[in-house]
Amino acid sequence: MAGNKIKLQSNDGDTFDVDVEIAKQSATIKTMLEDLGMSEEDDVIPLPNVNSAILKKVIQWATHHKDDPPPPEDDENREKNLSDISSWDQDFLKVDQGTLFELILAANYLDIKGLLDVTCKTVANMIKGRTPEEIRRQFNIKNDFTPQEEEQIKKENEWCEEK
Amino acid sequence: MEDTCALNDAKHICNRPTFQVFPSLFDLSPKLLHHIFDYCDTQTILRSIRCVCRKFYNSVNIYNRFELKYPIASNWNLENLAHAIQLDRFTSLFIFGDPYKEYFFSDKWKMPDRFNQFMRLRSLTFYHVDCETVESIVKRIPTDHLTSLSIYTESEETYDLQQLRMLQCNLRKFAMNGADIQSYKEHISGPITDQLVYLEVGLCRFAEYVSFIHEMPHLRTLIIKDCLLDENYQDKINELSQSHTSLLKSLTMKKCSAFLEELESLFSLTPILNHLELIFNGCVFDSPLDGHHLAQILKTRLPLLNDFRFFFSYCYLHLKIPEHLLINTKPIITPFQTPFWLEEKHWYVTCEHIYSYDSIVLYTTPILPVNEDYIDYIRHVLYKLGNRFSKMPSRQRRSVFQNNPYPRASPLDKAIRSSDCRQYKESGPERCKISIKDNICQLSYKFFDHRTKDETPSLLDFVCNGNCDNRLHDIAVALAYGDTFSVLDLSNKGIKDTEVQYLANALRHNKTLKILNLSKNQIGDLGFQYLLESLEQHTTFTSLNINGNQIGHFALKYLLTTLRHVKTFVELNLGSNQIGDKGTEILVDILQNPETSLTTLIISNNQITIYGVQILSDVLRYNKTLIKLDLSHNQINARGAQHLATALEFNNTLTHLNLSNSLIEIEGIKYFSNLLQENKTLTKLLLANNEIGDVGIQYSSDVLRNNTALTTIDFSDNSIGYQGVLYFIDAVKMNKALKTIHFGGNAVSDEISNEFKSIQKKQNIQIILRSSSSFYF
Repeated sequence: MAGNKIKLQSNDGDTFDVDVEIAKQSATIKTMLEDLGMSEEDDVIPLPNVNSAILKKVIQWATHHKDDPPPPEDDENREKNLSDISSWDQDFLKVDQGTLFELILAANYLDIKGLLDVTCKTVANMIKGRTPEEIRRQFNIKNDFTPQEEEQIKKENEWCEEK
Repeated sequence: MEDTCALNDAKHICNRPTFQVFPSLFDLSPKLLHHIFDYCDTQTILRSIRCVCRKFYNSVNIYNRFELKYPIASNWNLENLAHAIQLDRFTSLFIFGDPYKEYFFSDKWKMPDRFNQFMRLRSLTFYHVDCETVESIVKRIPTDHLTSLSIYTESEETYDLQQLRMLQCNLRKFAMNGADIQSYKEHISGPITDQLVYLEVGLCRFAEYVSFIHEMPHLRTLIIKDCLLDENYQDKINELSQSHTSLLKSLTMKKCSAFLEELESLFSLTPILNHLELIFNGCVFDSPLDGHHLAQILKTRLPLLNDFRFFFSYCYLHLKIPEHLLINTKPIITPFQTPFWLEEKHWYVTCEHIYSYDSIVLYTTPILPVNEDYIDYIRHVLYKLGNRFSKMPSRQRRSVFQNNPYPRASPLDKAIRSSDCRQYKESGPERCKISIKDNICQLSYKFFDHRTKDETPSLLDFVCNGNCDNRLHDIAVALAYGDTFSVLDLSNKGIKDTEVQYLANALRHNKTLKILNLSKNQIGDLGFQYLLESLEQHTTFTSLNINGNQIGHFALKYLLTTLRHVKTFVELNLGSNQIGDKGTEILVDILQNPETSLTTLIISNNQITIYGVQILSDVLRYNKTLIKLDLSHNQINARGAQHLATALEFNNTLTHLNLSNSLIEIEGIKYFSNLLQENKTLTKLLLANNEIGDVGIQYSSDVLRNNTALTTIDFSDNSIGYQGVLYFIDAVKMNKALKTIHFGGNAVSDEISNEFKSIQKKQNIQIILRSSSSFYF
């Protein structure tokens, strides 16, 4: 098996030759190959939701992490530990917000759990310790609450003060 | 694409051409938002994210993987919380005990009734909670969904959790860091072990280690404190590595005392290891980590290793280090600068030499959670154990504290452990720190890689405290390779010519230093020469303070060349040396040279006589660069004062002049009074301790009435009597420019003092009545 390649095609038409084992970190591609019985040599797998710049980054990530331990299958028991992003990943994710969120969408679509985890962690780090107004400013989000609604939320949050 | 715009009215998105629309946080589906929430604490989710906008509000309201941190000591009854969020929306519960409060002996803590409402709990974690309480909580909480149970403790108590054995759940993660070998063997035996993916325990012997990695079919992550190797471990490893293959992917040793060759053997049992964390036991090692050897082992034994972090420290207290071999961080860090570490693996290592802890620390960044107090503590422990222990070679040291069958209970071990939980501090003693990541060598006070939020690396002002005999080497290395600091203060450090050589060699490579303070050392002509020559190629240097050394006139000739090359070098403090009139001759050449631009020259206390002042005065007539001149504590006399005053009539540049302690007397002040009638440039004139008396102050007072340039004047210690003071006060009242007056050490009675106070108030002038003979610019 080792050395077998497949072709992945981005939505803007570029194709990338990728090791099967690397590509299989994407559960989506793995399913396509295994369940749909696609042959590896000739067929091109189209990925209509990913552009070539992002696909290139995804492949770069998957290549670096090809020997990682499989992430825990248990979805509902994540460690909320934010400091454990490896320095390679930190370097890899020094990108603009647009790219970061495209990577999240691509990781989600391709179902690459490790990449989704580390990108989401990165966003969580950007949010942590910030006020609602700071979050709005940082991610360019408009406050669409009415003053009454804001008052209501404030009340709901009162339990936090209890200590 | 238009849909995206409709959903999100954020301007930056709609303004872009449609084919370049980038997604933002707002565009993520609730499922993905929840994924991000999974890494946020409950407070952030509820108090920040939920309040951002309606979409996030709705998204939070359907989120059901909250975590709760419950401090036992708070007696929190959960009523209000349960109203805000139903307790079955929590999947993680952290229960914090207080290791120092023995709450469990009183009735103080009562388990809230609502504890049984955590119906969907997947993860349960205890910190410092006693066995009995753990047991009662585990009994109460529904465990049907529990997949993770962690019990972290600092106590010596052996946890015997009957309840745990009864647990009917699919535990995949189990942690019990304090447990001794017997108790965790009991707890994690049987069906639980077959399921475990993640296991954390305390110290284990080699046999247990082997059983973990070979007999638990699903185990992928193992965290231990240390693995105690027995004598014939090597034979067993040879045998095992033939027959078994471990599937372990992640290994952490939190207090590793293994030597590199032992690690190599251990690693041969786990060939597909992908993640490795090693915190080395700082009490054991007596020399720095060998980066070359380590890289070799990792390359051959753990080819799949992707994420590697380590923290290594050793304390050289009591170890004999030959004087010629000063501890220097550069060679220690160099092995970690190979392409293997930097390009292939992206593992960046930082090395710190913390002088007052006598310690060398090496660690990968981002740093593992190790408290700097740990280093201080190790030094403390070694100090307490004394010479005999500290001088032992590593192997002997290790065997001393592995003699106890369960050494976690040894006092040494206990002491180190209790230091683990102290809080982080922001700064500590000075250290030389080389970080491979940004290739910066700096002298810093910052603990490890601690950086306060939003702090950008900045030029660091460094002051070397205490005795820096064997630190100069580090400082020199820092200068040579450092790009971080602009000020180096090495005053009063007993530095001699030979040591200046270190600095000088380093300065040749430095590109950032601006200010160098070498005052009050023992630098002679030779050292000064080294220094000046090393600065010749410098482009940023501005100021040298070499006050209070043993510099004569021989080395001054090198100053001209340096000043000609280094246009930024404008301030020189040569005070309290021995340059004499001969040195002044050279300075005159420098001031005459159109290629130099000295603005500040301090040559106080240098045995300069009337001749020196005369030639200096001649050059001041034409010089257009010098702004500040300090000639105090020389033998200028009235004649010298005459030369100066006459020359300054032609000078429009000099604003600050210090002629204190110059024996200029009444006659000298007469010349200066004449000068002040015309001169509009001098703003600061210091004439303390010149025996000008009542007559002298009268001359000055007459001109001060109408002078509009001077803002600071010093007439302290001038034997001025009552009459003279009155005359002076009268003049000050008329003056409109003065801001600061030094007048101590004259006949200032209480009455006069009150008068001064009222002037101070009325005219907003600062009047200093302390005796001040050592006032500089």
